[in-house]
Amino acid sequence: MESLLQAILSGLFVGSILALLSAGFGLVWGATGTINISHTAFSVAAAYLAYWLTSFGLWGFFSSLIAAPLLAFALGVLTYRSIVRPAAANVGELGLVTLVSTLGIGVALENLLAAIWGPGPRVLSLPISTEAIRVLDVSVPTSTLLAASFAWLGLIVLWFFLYKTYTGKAVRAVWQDPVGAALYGIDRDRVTDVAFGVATATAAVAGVAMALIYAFSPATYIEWLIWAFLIVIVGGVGSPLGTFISGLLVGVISTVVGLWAPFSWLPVILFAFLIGVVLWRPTGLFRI
Amino acid sequence: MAANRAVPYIIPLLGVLAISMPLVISIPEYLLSFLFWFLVYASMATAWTIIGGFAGYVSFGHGAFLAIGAYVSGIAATHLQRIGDFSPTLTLALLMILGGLSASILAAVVGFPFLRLRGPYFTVASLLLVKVSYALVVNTPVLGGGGGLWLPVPRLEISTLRYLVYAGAIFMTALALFVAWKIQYSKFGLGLVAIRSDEDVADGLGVNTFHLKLFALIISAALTGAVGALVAYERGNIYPDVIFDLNISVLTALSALIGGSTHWAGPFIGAGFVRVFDELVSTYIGREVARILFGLMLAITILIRPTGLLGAPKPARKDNREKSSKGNESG
Repeated sequence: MESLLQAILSGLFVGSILALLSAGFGLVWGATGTINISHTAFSVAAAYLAYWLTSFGLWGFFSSLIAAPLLAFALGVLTYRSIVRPAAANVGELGLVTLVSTLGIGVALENLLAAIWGPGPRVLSLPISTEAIRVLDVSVPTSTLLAASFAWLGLIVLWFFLYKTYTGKAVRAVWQDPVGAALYGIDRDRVTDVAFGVATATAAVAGVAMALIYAFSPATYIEWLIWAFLIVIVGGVGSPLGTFISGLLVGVISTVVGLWAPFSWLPVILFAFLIGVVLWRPTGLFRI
Repeated sequence: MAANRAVPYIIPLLGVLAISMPLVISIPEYLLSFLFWFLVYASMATAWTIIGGFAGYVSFGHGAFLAIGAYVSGIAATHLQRIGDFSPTLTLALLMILGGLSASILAAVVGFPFLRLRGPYFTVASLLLVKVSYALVVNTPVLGGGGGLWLPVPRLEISTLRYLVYAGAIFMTALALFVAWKIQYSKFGLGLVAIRSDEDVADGLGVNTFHLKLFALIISAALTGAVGALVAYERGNIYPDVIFDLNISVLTALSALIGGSTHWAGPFIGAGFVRVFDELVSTYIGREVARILFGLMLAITILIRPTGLLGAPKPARKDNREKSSKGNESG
C-alpha cells in the first residue's frame, strides 16, 4: 500500500514533466500539422547545456533555466522557417516530409552533442543536498521535487500564453480553423513562428527537468520522443488539456506498472501499447 | 533521347563490373572491406526503395528486418554446425535463405496492421517496431540479451571467408537490383506508383492497394533479412546496439532518397555516394561530422526533392495539405 502510494506520487511528478515535454510537440502538430522529431533533440541539448553550466556551480544551473528556453526559442523559429515553411509551400504530405526532415535535424543535433560530450550517458547532479523529503510516509528526492516544480512553472507559463495572450489565442484559432483564422486577419506565418518558438522553449525546460531525474545521452531523444508521441496521441492531437491529463496518466501508469513488471520490460510494454494506440486511433483516444 | 535513357543502365553496369573485379584480381583488404559495406548498403537501399520509394511508404523499421535475419541465421548457424558438416558456401546460402524467410514472415505479420496506416503514422509505427524488437531481444537470454550473440567460427581461412562474403554481397546486390528492376516495369510496379500518387484514387480505380503494399513490404523485408544473415556471418557476432542502430535505417533511407527512390538504380548510386562521403569525412574529419552532415542532407533532400535526384519531380498538391496533415484513420 505504501509502495503503491509512493509509485502514484512519483508517477505524478514524472508525469508533469512528461506533460511539459509533450505539450509543445502536440502544439505544433495540432497548429501546423508538423511532426517535429527534433523536438526532444532540443530537450536533450538543453539537458547538456544545463549539465555544462552546472559544472560552474549552482548559479550556472539556474541560469541554464533561463538561457536554454531563450536559445531554444530562437532555434525553434529557425527550424520552422528553414524546414516547415518551405515544406508547406512545396509538397502535399506535410506530416511525412516534416517528419523525415526533422529526423535529419535530430540526427545532426544528436551527433553534434556526441562530438562535444561523447556518446556515453551523463547524470546531472546538483551541488545541493539530494536527500529525500518525507511527506506522509512517502519519500520524495529533492531533485525530483525541483524538476516537477520547473515543469509546473513551464506548464503555467504555457497555459498563460495559450489562453491569456493575444498571440496564444491566435495560435488556438489557427489550430481550430486555419482559413477562418486568416479571414479574421490573423497572420498565420507570424503566429506559427511564435508557436514553434514557444514549443521548443518548453521542450528545453522539460529537458532540464528530465535531466534532474534520468540519465541522458545524445541518443536519448528518440526515447523521449516516443514518450511525447504516446502522450499526445493518447490525449488527442490538438488538445492541450488532453495532453496534460494523459501526461500525468502515462507517468502514473509507468511507475505503477514498474511495481510489478521488471524495469527492463517497461519499454516493451510501453512501445507495444503505443503501437496499439497508433493502430487503433491514430488521431487520439480522447477529445477533451 | 535514346542516349539519355541508356544512362541509368550503363552506370550500374559499369559499377557491377568494377565491383566484380576483386573476385578475379587481388586488391587491398581495406578496399575490399569498403566495397563489401558499400554493397551491403546498396542492397539494403534497393530493397528499401521497393516499399519506401515505389509505394511511398517511408519506413525507418528496416533495422528490425535486418536484425531478425541476423538473429535467426545466428541461431540457425549454431544448430547447423551441430547437425552436420556443411561446406561454408552451402552454410551461408542456407543462412541467407533462412534470414530472408524469417524477415518476410515478420513483414507479413506486422504488415497487416501497419499498412493500414498512412504517411507519418506508418513511419512512426515502423520506427517503433525497431524499438520494440530491440527491447525484446535485450530481454531474451536465448538471443544473448544485451551482450550479443556469437556465431560458430567457420572452418575457413580468413582471406577465403572475406571473398565468400564478398561474393554473397554481390549476389544480394544483383538480386535486389534485378527484383527492383522487374517490379518497376511490371503491372505490380505501376500499382505501387498509383499508391504513391494517390492511394484513394488507386483504390477507387480497382487497384488492390492493400495486397500490393503487403507484397512489396514482404519482398523488401525478405531481401533485407537475407542481407542481415550475410552481415552476421561476416562479423561472426551480433550486438543488439549495433544491429538495431537507428543510423542504419537512416543511412539506408538517405541512400535511396539521395540517389532517387522511384527508380530501381537510384538507391545503388545513392549508396555509392553515401559510402564514399562517409568514408572520406569519417577518416579525415570525424565520424560525428559525417553523421551531422548526413542528418542535414536528409532534411534538405526530402525538402527540395522528395523523390530523390533521379526521381520524377513531384507535382505540388497544395489542396491536399489539410487532409494529409491531419492524419488518416482509414484502412
